[in-house]
Amino acid sequence: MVNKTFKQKSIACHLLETGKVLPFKSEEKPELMPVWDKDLCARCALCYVYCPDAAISRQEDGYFDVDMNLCKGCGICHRECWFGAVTMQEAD
Amino acid sequence: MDRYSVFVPKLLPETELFSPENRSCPGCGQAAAIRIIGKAVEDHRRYPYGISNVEMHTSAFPYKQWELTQAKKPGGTSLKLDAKKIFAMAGESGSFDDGIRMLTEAKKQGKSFIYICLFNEAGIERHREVPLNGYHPDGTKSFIRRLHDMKNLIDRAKAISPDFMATACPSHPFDLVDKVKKTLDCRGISFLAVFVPCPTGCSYDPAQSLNSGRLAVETGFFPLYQIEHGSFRITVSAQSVPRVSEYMKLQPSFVMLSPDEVKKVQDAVDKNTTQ
Repeated sequence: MVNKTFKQKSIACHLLETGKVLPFKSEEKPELMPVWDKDLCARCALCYVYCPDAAISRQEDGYFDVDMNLCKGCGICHRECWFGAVTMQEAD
Repeated sequence: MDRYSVFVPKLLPETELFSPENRSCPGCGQAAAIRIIGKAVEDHRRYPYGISNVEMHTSAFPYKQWELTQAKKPGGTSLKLDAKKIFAMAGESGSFDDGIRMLTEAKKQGKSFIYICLFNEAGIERHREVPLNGYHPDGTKSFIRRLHDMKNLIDRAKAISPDFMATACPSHPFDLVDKVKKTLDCRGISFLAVFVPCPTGCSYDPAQSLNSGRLAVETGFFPLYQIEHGSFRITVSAQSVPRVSEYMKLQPSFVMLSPDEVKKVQDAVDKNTTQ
C-alpha cells in the first residue's frame, strides 16, 4: 500500500485536485426557449441585464441569442422586452 | 450606432462573477440580484463568499458557482477580508441571527463593513423576521395577525445608524448597481437590503418574477430609498402608485384574503409610506 498525503487523496471521489470543483450542468431541458425577432429588436440589452442565469449573450452583429445549455425557460426576457421582440417557442 | 456599446458597459461590465450554471429555480430573483451585484463589484477579490441561503443553491458540495479563482474561502465564516474592508452577504434569517450583531460590533470598532441582506419575500423557511411583505404560502391567514407583531429588520438596521443605508431590488438593476458602488466607496459601515422576488415560494409564474418586484416597489410594499450620512432620499418613485391589490392579484397565495383584509394591508402600507 502506498502512503498518500492528504492533498493527494480525492475528496468524496469527486475532487481530485485541491481548490478545484465541478461546474454544475443540469440534464433537464426547458420546454420553452426564447426567440428574437430582429426586425423588432432595438438592441437595448434589457434581456441581457435581466436574465438571472446569464444565458443571453451578444452576437457579432449586435443582436442577442440564448445558450440553451444555460437557459431555464423562465420567460423573463419575453416579459421584460419593451418592444415585444422576444417570443417563447417550444424547444426542439 | 451600436447601442449596446453605449448603453450597457458604461453601467455594467461584461464579466460574470456569478457563474450561470447555478442550481436556482427558473426566474430566481436572488440569482438575478447576485449576478447584478457581482457585475457592480467587478473585482472578484472583493466579492463575498457567503455561507447563508445564498450558499444553498450556489455551492452544494462538489459544485461551485463563483468565479473565485484567486481568492480563498475563509473557513467557517461568511466574511471576506480585503483591503481592510469586510464584505458580507446573507439572507434575512441569518441577518437576524448574526448580521445585526456584526453591524453593531463593526460600528463600535470603527471598521469598514459592507452588509448586503437579501430579502426573500416568501419566507420559505418559517420565520417571523420579515418586513411588511412577509407571509407564508400555506399560512396566509396568519399574515394579517403577523402584521401587528412583526420584527422589521430594516428598522433595526436603521437604529444602528450606518453611514450608508439603502434598499434595492433587481427589478431596478441600475439603481442596484449605483447603490452597491456607493457601499464600496463608503468608508464606514453600510447596509444594503435587497428585495428578491421568489416565484417558487409564492407560487406564481416565473416570467412575472421581476414584474412582481417592480410592483412591490411601486405600491410601497418595499420602497426604494437611501440614507446617506443621515439624509433621506427616495431613489425610485412611481408616476402612478398602483394599489396593493394589484401586487396581490399576481400571487395565488393571496386569493384567500377577503377584501377587508386586503384593505388592512393597504392601510398598513399607506401608514408605512407616509412615515
